[in-house]
Amino acid sequence: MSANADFQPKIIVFACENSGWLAAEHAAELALSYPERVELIKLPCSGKIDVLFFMKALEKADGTIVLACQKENCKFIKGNIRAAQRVKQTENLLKEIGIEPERVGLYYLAANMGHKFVEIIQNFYDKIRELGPNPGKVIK
Amino acid sequence: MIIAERKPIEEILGLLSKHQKVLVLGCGGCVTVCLAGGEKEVGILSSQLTMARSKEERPLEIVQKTIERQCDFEYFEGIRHIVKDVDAILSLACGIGIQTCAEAFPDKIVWPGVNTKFLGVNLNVGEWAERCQACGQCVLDKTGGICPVARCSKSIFNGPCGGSQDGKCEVSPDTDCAWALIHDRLTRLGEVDSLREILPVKDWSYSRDGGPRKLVREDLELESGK
Amino acid sequence: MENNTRIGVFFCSCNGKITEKVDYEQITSEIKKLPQVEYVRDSQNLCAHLEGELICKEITKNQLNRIVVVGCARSKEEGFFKEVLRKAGINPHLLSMVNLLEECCSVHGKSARSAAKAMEMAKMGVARAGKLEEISFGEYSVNRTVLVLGGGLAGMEAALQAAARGHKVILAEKEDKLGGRLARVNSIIGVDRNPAELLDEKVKAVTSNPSIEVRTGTRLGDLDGNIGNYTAWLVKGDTETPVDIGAIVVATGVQTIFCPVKYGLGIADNVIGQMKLERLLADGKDFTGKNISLVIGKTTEEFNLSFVIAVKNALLLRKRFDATVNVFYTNIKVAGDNWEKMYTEARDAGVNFFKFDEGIEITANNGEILINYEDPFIRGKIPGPFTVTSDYIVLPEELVPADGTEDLAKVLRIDLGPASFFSIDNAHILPEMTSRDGIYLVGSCQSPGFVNDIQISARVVAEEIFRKLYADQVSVELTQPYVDAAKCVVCLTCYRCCPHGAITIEHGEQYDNLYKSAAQMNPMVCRKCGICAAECPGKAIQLPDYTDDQVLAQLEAMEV
Repeated sequence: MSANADFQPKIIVFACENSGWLAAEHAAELALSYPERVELIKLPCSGKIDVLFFMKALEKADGTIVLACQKENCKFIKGNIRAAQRVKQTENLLKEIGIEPERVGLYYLAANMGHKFVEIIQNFYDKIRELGPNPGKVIK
Repeated sequence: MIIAERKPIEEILGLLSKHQKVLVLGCGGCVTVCLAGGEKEVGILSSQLTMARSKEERPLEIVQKTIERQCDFEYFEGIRHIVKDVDAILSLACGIGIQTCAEAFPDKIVWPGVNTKFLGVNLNVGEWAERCQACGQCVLDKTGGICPVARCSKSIFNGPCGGSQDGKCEVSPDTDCAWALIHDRLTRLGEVDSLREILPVKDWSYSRDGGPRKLVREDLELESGK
Repeated sequence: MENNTRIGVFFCSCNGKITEKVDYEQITSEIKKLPQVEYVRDSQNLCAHLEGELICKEITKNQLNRIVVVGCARSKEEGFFKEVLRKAGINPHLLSMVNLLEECCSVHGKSARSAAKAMEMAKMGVARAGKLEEISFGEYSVNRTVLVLGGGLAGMEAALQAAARGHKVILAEKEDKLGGRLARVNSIIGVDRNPAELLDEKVKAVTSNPSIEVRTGTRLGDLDGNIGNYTAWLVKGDTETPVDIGAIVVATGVQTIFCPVKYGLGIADNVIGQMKLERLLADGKDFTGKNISLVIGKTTEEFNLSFVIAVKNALLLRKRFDATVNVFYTNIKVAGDNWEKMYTEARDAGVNFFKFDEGIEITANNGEILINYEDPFIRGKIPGPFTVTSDYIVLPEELVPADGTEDLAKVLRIDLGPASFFSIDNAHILPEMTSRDGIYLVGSCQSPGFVNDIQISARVVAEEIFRKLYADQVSVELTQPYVDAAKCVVCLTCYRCCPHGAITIEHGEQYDNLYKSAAQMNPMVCRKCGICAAECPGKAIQLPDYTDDQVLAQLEAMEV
């Protein structure tokens, strides 16, 4: 769909400090690599993700995801369940205004999954690249 | 508490289509409690609206504000200066708040951002149910504290009707039969015999029958005999 | 303080690892231009000890009150820099760390794009620093009394361990005497003691301990409050008495249900349960020369206990009575302390192990037990069924939580885990912990367990209670979310969402809103997940170190 072959999406990643954040460190240890235009923001738990954070992120980025601990393995029991609910809410908000709900996502991983981290980031990046620039971007 | 739900976004976008700058006004009362129009919802809706309009390449400027309650005129005084600069107000308060807002700002367009649903209770996070229809003459003393007006689909007074099955209403299997609930509760309290008394025809003149209602208590008025 | 924010930015090249990819000069010159940034310095190796002292000096000299470290952000380095801040006399939470090494240099090549990202990350770090807030400590008065529910071995052990750490203990047992289920057992796996003697010794130790108050015939009826300040309503007969306590240890144990119907058998003298066998052995029944069959794995697959007990008793019967012992199994779960050895020993001693999958048929006939079974491994070569005749058959009982566990869970406001035992399936916390701080589990109430595990659990729990309630007045870092009362509409959303029961609605004149009340997070209970902050419809709740301002500032500082 993307007409512009040079399109480099901007991705904002909210990472639970018990899994996604550490997995990013692990990816560095393994000397893996992923696209540059990916920024991480640390959260104490994926349950801290706010629909508003997603929306604010999408006002300037092309896609945003939250990285949560594996299912049934949240340190705070229900954090990743709440995160899944908020991703669903955000998807609905995007759908309502005709923006692809795929621009927001939730991925489960563990702290020692550097490879998985890079795989998630790369796949999401590629998916957004395919989708093209976020039509709802407010700050361009 | 008043339960409300945000209007579909297309509807809101339609209402705001001709404006360039609006105030999205939240209310810190019932609509915050029922997660429809508090500060957070104001933020989310504003973000959603800006994105939608930016997508259409017709940017919309939004001012966000949440006041204590929109059903009292005094609370609007603090936002007069903000209101001056906007084309219109999108009020996320209940129907009462939206009207009070419009009355407070007679020269401003005030759009409703939520649909006011009913007077109800919060059963769980994200789950509400109707409990009262403000009929003006409470009968809960005779019905074990369960309201047949609000909770019986037919609002009948000497129920249940023939549509009550296994404690559920024929209108929907998700709805409890109010009269089944009344019977069970009175049985539990050992008062089930009180149901033998036939309830008289309800005097609906206390309800909407007499037109819009107004309550005046002279003993409380600041200037008596006004 | 807000309008006097003075940010110091310290760059570390990590011995050149960062600067080989990123040009610091370019970044520092940009950062210097940012408002509130008063000091910028780059260094070879910022986490070297001498550098720490230098940072300290620079903080004082330049009156810095927010510090940004650009380099790496591992927890070890974070600890180091927090210590540096503390030494320099500023709150350690006024530190923002940017992981340039691992989020940029290690994962990207040298390019204009990675340079842009490095710049952006530094700016995000500075933006966050501008919004940082101090976090102080608070003093809390706590009650140090521990309530132990259940007077079995687990409860008694927990009571003794807590008492040994200086806690007063109330031990509530619903029966009229202490002892629990272990009194009915013949021998204990891994503990070379007679159960009756061991129990006797514990009961004496408990009853003679001046710090332990034993209340028999008593159960917990209701509970208010949180760790350090619970009010427990103890029910004895028709009377309910409130007691003030600080922590609760649940040791209500397990019960067994004998259900021969599941094996197609009725009640008969020679059809016995595992617990009954223990009882018979303890009473000295003679099994000399008998043929005894044990079946395991047909119903109680979930717990190790029934497997290990069957192997234990098979070995015992074989050795003590020279009986012919057959163990019919679908599965043998003996992975654990010396259990595998016990299993091998049983085989060496001549216990017969017969494998079956589904094909087993047991009939009791005039005092004789007939077992027809099919072996799945040799079925192809020698088709069954084979028949074994026995004098006794021993079946495992169903293991279920003690009576009233479900009601107790409601009173304690904790969830039930698999098979309705207390527990939460969560690898991050100790199996003794529950979703609520101050409520702990010892023994079989969380999953049928073994005596030596109980002793370890009791110690763990006592240590945990002591760690939290180490004195009448404890100091707690106030990292729990705080509530802006002016925005709180006491809607209870946070209260309903909190997985740890840390939130209460408090009333008082200090709460500046229409309701004169606000949600409050108890710092001793809160685990700082931030779920409440994200749910709050009034945006009244902020989690320190992760406030909305701090997160949104980072988003704001980001390039498009």
